[in-house]
Amino acid sequence: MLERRSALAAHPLLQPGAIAIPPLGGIAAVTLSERRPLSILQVSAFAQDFDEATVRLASALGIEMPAPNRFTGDRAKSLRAIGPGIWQIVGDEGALPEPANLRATLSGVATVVDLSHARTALQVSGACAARTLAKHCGLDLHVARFPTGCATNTRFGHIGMTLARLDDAPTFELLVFRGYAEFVFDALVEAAGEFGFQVLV
Amino acid sequence: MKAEQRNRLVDGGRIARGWPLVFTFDGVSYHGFAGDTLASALLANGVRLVGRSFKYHRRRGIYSAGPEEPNALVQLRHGARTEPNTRATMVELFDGLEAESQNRWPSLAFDWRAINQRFAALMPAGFYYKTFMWPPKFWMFYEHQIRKAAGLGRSPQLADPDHYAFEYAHCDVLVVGSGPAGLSATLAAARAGARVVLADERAEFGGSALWEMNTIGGLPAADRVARSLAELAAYPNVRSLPRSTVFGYYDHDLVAIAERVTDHLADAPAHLPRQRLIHLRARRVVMATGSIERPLVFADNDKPGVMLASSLRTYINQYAVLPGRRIAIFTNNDDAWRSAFDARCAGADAVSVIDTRKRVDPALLERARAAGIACLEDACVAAVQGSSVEAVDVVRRDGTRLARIECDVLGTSGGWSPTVHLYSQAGGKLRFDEALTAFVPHAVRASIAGAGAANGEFTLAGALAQGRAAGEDAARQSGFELAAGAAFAVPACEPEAPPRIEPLWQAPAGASRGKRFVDIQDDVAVEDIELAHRENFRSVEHLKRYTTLGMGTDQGKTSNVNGLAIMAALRGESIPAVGTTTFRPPYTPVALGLFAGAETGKHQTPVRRTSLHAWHLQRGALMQNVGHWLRPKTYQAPDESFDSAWRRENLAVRNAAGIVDVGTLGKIDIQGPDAKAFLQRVYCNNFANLAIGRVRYGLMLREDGIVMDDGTVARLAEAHYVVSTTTVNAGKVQSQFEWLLQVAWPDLRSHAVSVTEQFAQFALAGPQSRAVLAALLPQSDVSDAVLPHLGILQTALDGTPVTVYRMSYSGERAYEIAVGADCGEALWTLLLDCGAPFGLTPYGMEAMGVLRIEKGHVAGNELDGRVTAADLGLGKLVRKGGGFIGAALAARRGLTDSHRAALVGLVPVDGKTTIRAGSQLVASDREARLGGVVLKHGFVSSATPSAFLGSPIALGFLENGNARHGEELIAASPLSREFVRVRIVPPVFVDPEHARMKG
Repeated sequence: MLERRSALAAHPLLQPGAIAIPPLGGIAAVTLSERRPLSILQVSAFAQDFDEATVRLASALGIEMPAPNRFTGDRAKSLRAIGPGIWQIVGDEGALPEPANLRATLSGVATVVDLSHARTALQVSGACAARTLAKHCGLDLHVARFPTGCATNTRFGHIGMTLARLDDAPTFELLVFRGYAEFVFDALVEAAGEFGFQVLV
Repeated sequence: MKAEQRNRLVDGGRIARGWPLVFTFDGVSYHGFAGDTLASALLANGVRLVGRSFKYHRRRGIYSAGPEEPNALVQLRHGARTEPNTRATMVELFDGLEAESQNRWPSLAFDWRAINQRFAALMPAGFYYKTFMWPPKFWMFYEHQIRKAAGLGRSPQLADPDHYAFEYAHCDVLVVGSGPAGLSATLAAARAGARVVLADERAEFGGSALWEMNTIGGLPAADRVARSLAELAAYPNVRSLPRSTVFGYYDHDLVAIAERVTDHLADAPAHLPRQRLIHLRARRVVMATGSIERPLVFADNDKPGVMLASSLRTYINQYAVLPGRRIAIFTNNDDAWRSAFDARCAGADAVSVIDTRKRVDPALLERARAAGIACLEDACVAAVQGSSVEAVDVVRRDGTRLARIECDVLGTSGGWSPTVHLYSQAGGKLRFDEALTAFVPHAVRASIAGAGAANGEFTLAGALAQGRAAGEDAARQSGFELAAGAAFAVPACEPEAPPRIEPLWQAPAGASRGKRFVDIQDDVAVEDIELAHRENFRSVEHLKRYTTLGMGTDQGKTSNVNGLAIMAALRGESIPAVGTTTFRPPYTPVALGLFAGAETGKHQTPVRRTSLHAWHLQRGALMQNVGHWLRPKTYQAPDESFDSAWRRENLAVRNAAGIVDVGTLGKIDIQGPDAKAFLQRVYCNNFANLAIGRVRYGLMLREDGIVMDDGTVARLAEAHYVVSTTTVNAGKVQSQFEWLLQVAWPDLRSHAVSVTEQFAQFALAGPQSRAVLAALLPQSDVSDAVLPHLGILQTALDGTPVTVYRMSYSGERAYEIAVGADCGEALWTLLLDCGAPFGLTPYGMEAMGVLRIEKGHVAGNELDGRVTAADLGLGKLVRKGGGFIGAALAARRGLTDSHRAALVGLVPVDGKTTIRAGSQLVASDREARLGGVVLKHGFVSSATPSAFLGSPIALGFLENGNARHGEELIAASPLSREFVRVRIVPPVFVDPEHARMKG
């Protein structure tokens, strides 16, 4: 296999050992990290075949279908309902079905597109994670409104992202276009600066 | 160094006496305490003169104790952090604070422009516009001089060293103002479980409770506030925002808040933003913003020593400053009497009250006289003696002389105006309450409700009750019901009479020649309003613009109501009939840096990088912005000029092999049983017969028949295509596809998903490209038989899927190689290794642009939203049967006229003069050189020198161009004085038979 190289591979803050020092007396209220390598398959059902697509998809993955703007499954393989009839299967390399196999399973009712290289997954967690994101995302990220299990398409400043809340730390996962990864990471570093942050490599 | 604070009371106040601070004003050092404002510290030190007025340069002192301050505007800090027009009443004192007075020269005490006031009679409203009209061209000169004379502070000239933050916030209930009503509302909503944000523009929560000497539930009001704040601190659902001005209420209930995070610190920690702009969305807003006292309008009412009556007791009670020893109060209402009592309590030597009313409440009079306060009824201040207040001449309202009262401070009160700015900005209507003589909210608007003084409720008990009700109601409207038993009782307060006031909008002019100012900041006096009325500027909006009433940085907080009441009297109409001017955001001035926020420097605009970005930089590429993308322009060697770099890259492609990063091209994955039908509808050329494993050029029209974008369509499988678009139109085409599939043709079983970011893609081009490809993919047959022009090879390299599309933009034999973006750099470097023996050279945008012009391929310069397929020479591609977007309107007469400008090639007749892109094509250069009217035949869209051909070439559009090959014209660029004789040629300069690219 050719070596997979993250869009952030050359970023100085993401080099092994180069962990940012939080400015507030050692308190890191925010932790930033990149999740890699990553696999993403996007499944889009035809409107006429929505029900059939959900049945076939759930059985192919062995995961319960999520409600709109929610995800099911676990870290290794999760299913995120991010649009009407649109799901993203996000997980570890190798944990997801082969695109061709899934395409065959869903033939005639849905399409399957491999987006594993098209997105960069950034994780923002800690006590001030929501306030860090609130500098760029207009969604109400309060736990009552965006609890663990939520996943949705939204905005990061001027660009789009898919945002999920993975746990109650809280940990948020941002899937951003690969080309914007460095811009977004730099913006997160800037945003987290006043709270104190660390970068996990 | 002046250490004494001669006006500081020995005890009391909310200042930290154990925390002394040193500051300077106009270079002189003074002492103050933590908890002071700059204004209270100046008053404590006996500084009376703090500024000069805008127009007449009159001497001015501290006038208020709050956000309404019209006079005490100072220049704060120095160098890059200097800030003009800060209100001394709102500036928290810190150690080392530096402030300077404004708008005076050479000094505050002696300002030569004060001469203006001698000519005040000659400088009425509209003076500048009336006087400096002729000659019209001179206005630019006049304006410069006038601006110098009439000014405020100086803008910083250096880059802002501070950083600013932006934040979205959400809550159920926003409470604006932390006085008794606001705190009561916050407690009620918090106890109900609602998410509450409490914002106050001041540093300390408490509002009027911090300076009014009344009790709540038997406790001093300030102590009661402390108890409430302690309770609120325990609620995780309450976010407190001190030093945060809710400055605007916008459409859809968006509220803007300016939080001043570090302005009160001498040295701000680097990690903190100076200020934060918060865009807050609250389900309900409680406006507990209090009210602003109005002054009375009388002669010389602007002299230092005149101040709002309530601010006098604020300085006494909150800051332990007695601004003078002999205090006079001039009022038309009961409320100002409190200041007299508080001044007496604080030990003022003499206190007098001058009340305009014929009959003042006898109980009040009795209490005052018992306290040793001199009381004058039916009385008016006719004149103020001294350059600062030294004495006032008091007359009866009929003009008879009554007394001269020696005093050094004159507190004035004409009543109170509820602070209704947010309510009004939210679209709420105001009602004039005759009893209060004030505009109050007319009714509860859906999303915002007033409470306390802001709502016209001026008693403490009433404010607490209204606050509680508004808080509970706002919580309930947000879905939070107070649990039974959780409701709190409004604590008992001392009995208070409702406010008693008898309006007096202007004191009689009397014998004094002193100006009666209405708007102190803008030097607008009663006679200016009278003049506006005489000249028929009678609407309040005209009055404002003509006289500048209410147009200063204070936006007329103390002056607007007085001004419109005077206009109402002149018009003989009621005050509500005359109405108010519009309340517009911001409520108080906001720093511009706040709106820039963090979007500066590298954070200003999103930057998009290809998977090869790091490699490009390492190779020393000169990067260029293409939309958000960064793309290499050339790979210039250290000893190489830009020109020789692109020539080298250009020739490498033509003579050996080159490789370019085309990862920025839009790529859209189209799948589904109806994918083919979909493509047939969106492209004007035919895809019905595109075989699996083949690529075809695609041309897309807009609905109006004009070319929208071009690209390629590759068929990977029976129901699976990948479409490419130009870099700039990728987003537009993607949106169009999604819209068509979701809205126009939901019956089609097809989806379009952007895979632009999924693939690294590079074009390998040149005579040696097949040899390089063969070296890269030794296991694959890349012969022309297997991979012909417009063929596709789906293979794998070391187990990684790789797709090779044989298509050409350069005109050479070329292959576009696509691989997962994460593997882009690995494949690219591998390819370069394989290509080294063949002279494989990476090339950038500049060489690519030259290659495509040499080949006559159109790009953004040609696809400018005005051309048809036929204009580009692509008319033959368009399907005759229609059935695609744009088919109907492409048949319009104007779009099928054979004389339309068509794409042509252009070469200089002399074979060497460079042609400038953008030049107009004209028949003769004589008129063009003279700048006369010239008939244009067309224009040059793209031009370049060609290293390969050894001469300049260009593309352009020329009327009836296809029939004019061989003709000579002038490419005229009058702006750059370039006039080049050009010959019209077919728009393909290299290999017109396409033998090179087909191999």
